[in-house]
Amino acid sequence: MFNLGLDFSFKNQILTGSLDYYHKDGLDLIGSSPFDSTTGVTTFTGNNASTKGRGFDLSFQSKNIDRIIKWQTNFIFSYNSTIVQSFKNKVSGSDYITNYGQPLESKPLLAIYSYKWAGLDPATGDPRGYLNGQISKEYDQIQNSTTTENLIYNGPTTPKYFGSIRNTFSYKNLSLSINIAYRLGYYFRKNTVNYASILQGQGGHGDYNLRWQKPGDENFTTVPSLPNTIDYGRDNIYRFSEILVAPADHIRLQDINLSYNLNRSQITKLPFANIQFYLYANNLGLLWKKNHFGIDPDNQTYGPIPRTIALGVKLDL
Amino acid sequence: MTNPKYIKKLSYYLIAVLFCSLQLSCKKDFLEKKPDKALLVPVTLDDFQELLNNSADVMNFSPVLPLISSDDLFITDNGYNALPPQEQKSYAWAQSIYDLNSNSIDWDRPYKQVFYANVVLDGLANKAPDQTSQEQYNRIKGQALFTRALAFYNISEEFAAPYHKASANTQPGIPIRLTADVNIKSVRGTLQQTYDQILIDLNTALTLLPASQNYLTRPNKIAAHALLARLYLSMGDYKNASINASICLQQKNTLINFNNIQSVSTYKMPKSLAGTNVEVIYHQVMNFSAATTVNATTLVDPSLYQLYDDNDLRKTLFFKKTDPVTINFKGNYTGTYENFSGMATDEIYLIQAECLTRSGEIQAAMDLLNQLLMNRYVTGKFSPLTANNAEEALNKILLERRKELLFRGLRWSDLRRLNQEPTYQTTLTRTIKGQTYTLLPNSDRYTLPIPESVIQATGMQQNPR
Repeated sequence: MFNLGLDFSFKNQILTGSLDYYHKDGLDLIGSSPFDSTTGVTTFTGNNASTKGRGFDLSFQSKNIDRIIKWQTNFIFSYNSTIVQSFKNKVSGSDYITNYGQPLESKPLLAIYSYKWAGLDPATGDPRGYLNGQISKEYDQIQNSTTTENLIYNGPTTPKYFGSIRNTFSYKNLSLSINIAYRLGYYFRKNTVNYASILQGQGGHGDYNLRWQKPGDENFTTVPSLPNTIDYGRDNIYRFSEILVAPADHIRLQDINLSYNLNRSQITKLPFANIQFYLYANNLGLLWKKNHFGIDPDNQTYGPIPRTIALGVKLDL
Repeated sequence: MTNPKYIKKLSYYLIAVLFCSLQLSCKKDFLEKKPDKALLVPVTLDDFQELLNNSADVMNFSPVLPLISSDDLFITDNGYNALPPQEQKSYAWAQSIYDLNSNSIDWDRPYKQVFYANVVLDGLANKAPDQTSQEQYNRIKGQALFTRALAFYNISEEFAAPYHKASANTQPGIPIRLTADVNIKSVRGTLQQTYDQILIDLNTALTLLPASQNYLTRPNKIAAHALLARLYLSMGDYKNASINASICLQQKNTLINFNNIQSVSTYKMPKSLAGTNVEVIYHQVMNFSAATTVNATTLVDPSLYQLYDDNDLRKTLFFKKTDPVTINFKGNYTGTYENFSGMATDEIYLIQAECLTRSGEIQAAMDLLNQLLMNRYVTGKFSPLTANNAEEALNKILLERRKELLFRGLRWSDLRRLNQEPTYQTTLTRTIKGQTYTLLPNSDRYTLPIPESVIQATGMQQNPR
């Protein structure tokens, strides 16, 4: 652990802020490692994993206009990267892909890995991957022959850069603040149709409508055709292919707060020390997203967080 | 206002009540109760028995790769494609069969059995039985020793070279672990040491095991004799195999008359675990595998199927024939999809018949064989087999052994053993996706490689392939 901090402020407090740089290395983390199974025990759980974390946090506050009309900006910017330095327990190549969260040495702690995608078969709409460098539909063999060398590493699933900007405008008793949050430099995997679950009558996904149905469909869809029987390998080659992974970078309009304040120093007859009327709107939606699927990468499974609008009065006695 | 005297009085009462409750709450057995069985350290005899009862995922399982490697089965190209790599490579007798990172259940599970047995044996060593518990103590110790011996035997049939008396002192054996301490490094001794230990364990078990047990998942004396017969046979010690087979048959010689099997289910054999399979001496099944546990693409060679006479009931009860080349084996003695690999009387009949022939007692051998076959053929359609000389008798007995004991995990051991006799050498061939693979008699590939992860962790010697 190593930390370097700097607090700064300029004349008249026009600009104040702080910058922190840190190393956060995890040593002797508890992890499992393979053990001579001849003993009857196959894994050993002990202090044998380590991670290397680097990051910095920058925040500042500036008074852009400070007269009757006031304009103030609060800015927060953070960078973080945590890399697995050592982790002894290895899983099969395809487990890194389909079983999210398996730590792999020299990669971020939480990362997305994928199968290489070779498009749909123009004749049948079957998904295709690569086996020993050749386009293939041998789904089981593709999965079995996947190693940490030939799988595709897409990137971390936690943002590398994140923070927010809040602008506050005030005029006399009226104040308006707008908060914009951003998360950048990470990836997500788009959910899609799982034919095994459809064939078992357990529900589906809207991508079903986009599936390949006749030759030529492969030109505008990547969703495979409906198979006759359950084939988990076939499902996996598509569901965990690189084609469904996209940058999760986005900017979100987090909240807006409009308030009107009155206090005793202004109106001496006021029965309260302070009274505030406010209108607060939260989760207002995305302003920008990098992915071409047009979905909110942080909330794809259950849909967007409900927008809330609150109108209220706050009294200080 | 409150009376100070009253408060003082009240506090005396409170102290008295607190004191009493402290006395009452300190019941030791309550504190020693464990919230979870996994936290329990086995101490009592009942605990040890429960460890040995774990036939859900530890006990009563045997390796499966020897079956996949044997000529009991062949797998279609489609079926082959869907197999996990370890099974594909075993099927193709490949030089190396494991990923560095993957474990092999064929190695891990029997060594887990050894570990459990050692926990029990270590625990028993610290316990002096009294008169009332002596019988239970012996029974448990006998079971643990039998379990360890059977695990060592199963491991050595897969991961150590076939036994030759002449070279057993120079060939590497398997790691022999005799205590539960996981800090002791695993090393390979000689093959002779492996077999010596199995014999010590089994002979000690014989003195401790009861004549009968309530469940077929627990070994009794007969099971120990049956395993000794199987072990001596694999060592080529026909005299001792015969002694044990003989004792075994004196105590249990029941056979199922296949004419009485009325089942209409896919698996027609009486169920071993339900106790209805009267031939079963000790219940054991093979590890689950994609290739052998219910797989329509895993077939029996039509030439093997053709060996059965039309009056041989095994031809219909053991197999499901969809078309001339699609024949699946359904004759597991478990009566289910699980491949039976335990001991049963039919195997002991065949061991004894073979041993008798090899010692020149041809008539006795043929009588025993005919007793078995009488229960396999349609009533009235069986004419007893005869042999004019020892060679003819042995040929007939080995052919019946081939037809009776398929998919029991025994074929691989038989190939390893019989390949040592020039007359009975077999060359195996397979065609996988147009490519032909051959396994020559006495090839190094009759011994499977030790899992790479174990070699990495211990530095022990790998088997040459």
